[in-house]
Amino acid sequence: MTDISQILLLSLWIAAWSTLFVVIVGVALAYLFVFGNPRRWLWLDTLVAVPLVLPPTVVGFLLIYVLGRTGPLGGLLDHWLGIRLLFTWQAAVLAAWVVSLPLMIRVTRSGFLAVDLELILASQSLGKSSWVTFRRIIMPLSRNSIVAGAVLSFTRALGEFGATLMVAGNIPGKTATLSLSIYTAFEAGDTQSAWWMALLLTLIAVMAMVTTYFLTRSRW
Amino acid sequence: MSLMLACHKQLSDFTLSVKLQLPSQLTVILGPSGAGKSVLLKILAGWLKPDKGELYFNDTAWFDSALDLHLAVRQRQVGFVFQHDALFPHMSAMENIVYGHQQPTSAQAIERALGFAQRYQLTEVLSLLPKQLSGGQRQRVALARSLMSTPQLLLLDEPFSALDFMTRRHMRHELINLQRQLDLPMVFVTHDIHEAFFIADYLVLMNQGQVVQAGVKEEVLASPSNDWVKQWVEEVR
Repeated sequence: MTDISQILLLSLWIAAWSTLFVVIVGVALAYLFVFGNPRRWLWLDTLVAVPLVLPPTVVGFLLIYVLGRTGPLGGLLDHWLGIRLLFTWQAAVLAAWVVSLPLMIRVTRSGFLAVDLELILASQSLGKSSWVTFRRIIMPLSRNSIVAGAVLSFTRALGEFGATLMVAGNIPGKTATLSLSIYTAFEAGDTQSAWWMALLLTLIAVMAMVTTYFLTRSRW
Repeated sequence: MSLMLACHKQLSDFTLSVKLQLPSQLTVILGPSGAGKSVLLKILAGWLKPDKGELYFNDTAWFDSALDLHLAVRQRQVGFVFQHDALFPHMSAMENIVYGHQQPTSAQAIERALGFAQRYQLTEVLSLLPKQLSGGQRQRVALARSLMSTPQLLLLDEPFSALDFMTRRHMRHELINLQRQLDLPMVFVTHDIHEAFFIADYLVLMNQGQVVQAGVKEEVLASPSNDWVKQWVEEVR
């Protein structure tokens, strides 16, 4: 039977790193789209939202083009830093990040929009900078949305298949995540392993939703 | 204090066009709903930028379309008390008050906040969240918070409209005492004629974005400029 514990650890590792970058970039972009000039950033808003509606294999295909040795980013990384991202766990992180980011932005944006504008104006009238207003007023009041977005992104990253398969491959011990391994086990006729991994993923997803419920209960 | 405003702002329903020179006392802007009172207050605060004109406070330009100048809210040192208090729901009463200070965690801020808390009978409720406070307590916290930043001008947008009659009456007296004690210029917006005439030193009557009459309260009472003003004045005679 497949070594599920190793696959689980790898999947959690990739999902955790992806979620970390998703939260940092997602919160920053959501702030920009809500409080910045919407017209100026419409192009960026559209660009980051596209992976939400694209088939994951198309996302993977485009990432291969960008990250490949002759690609615009991959070429630079290879030439200047000797880094080759394709078929590494880092590529899996990147694939998960690309598909999860639009989710994080959407949920966080809703949280920011729900903050009463008068509270933001009140903070400004008290002489507070945009950064202080963001840190002390907007972030705490949209905490629930940020947490929910992070959990959704984590579970999305954990379940990522198509884009991950294309840019990171399905290399045992290196890039073979739980989702990919379920497919591999099923193809190989190892239904017992496939069942265990599917149950595991389901259990993690349920725990994530329950955790979200308890973390996002309003105190005020 | 001198506050000179001459501005023009196109809004969806009407055009706001005012020319005012306000004294350093308690000015009340009175008018029906939709007259442009809150818009004017937001222009004074810096949240709304007029289309053209100028706004000078003590010879400092806050807005001047000829100079393409519009001073940000943060730089005007203006206190603002909202109609619905705008207390931060995740902060206690004490945290809300000290937030108004430049250095909220400093000993000076805490001492000042405790002073306000004592003056406004808030000492017992400092640890409570806004949702646990009464309407009157909330507005007193909001007032204390706005004073923490030592504003040079205090703007109040119908701050007592959501309060019950007795609390409102008490808060009006408090506001007058505060103004006299601190000699802090205030601009107070209301649609309540009785409230306006009770607290105002200087009265500005507005309708559909225009100043209909402005002057010392007693002068407006004695000599209403037209029938519309007369209608308002007769309510308090």
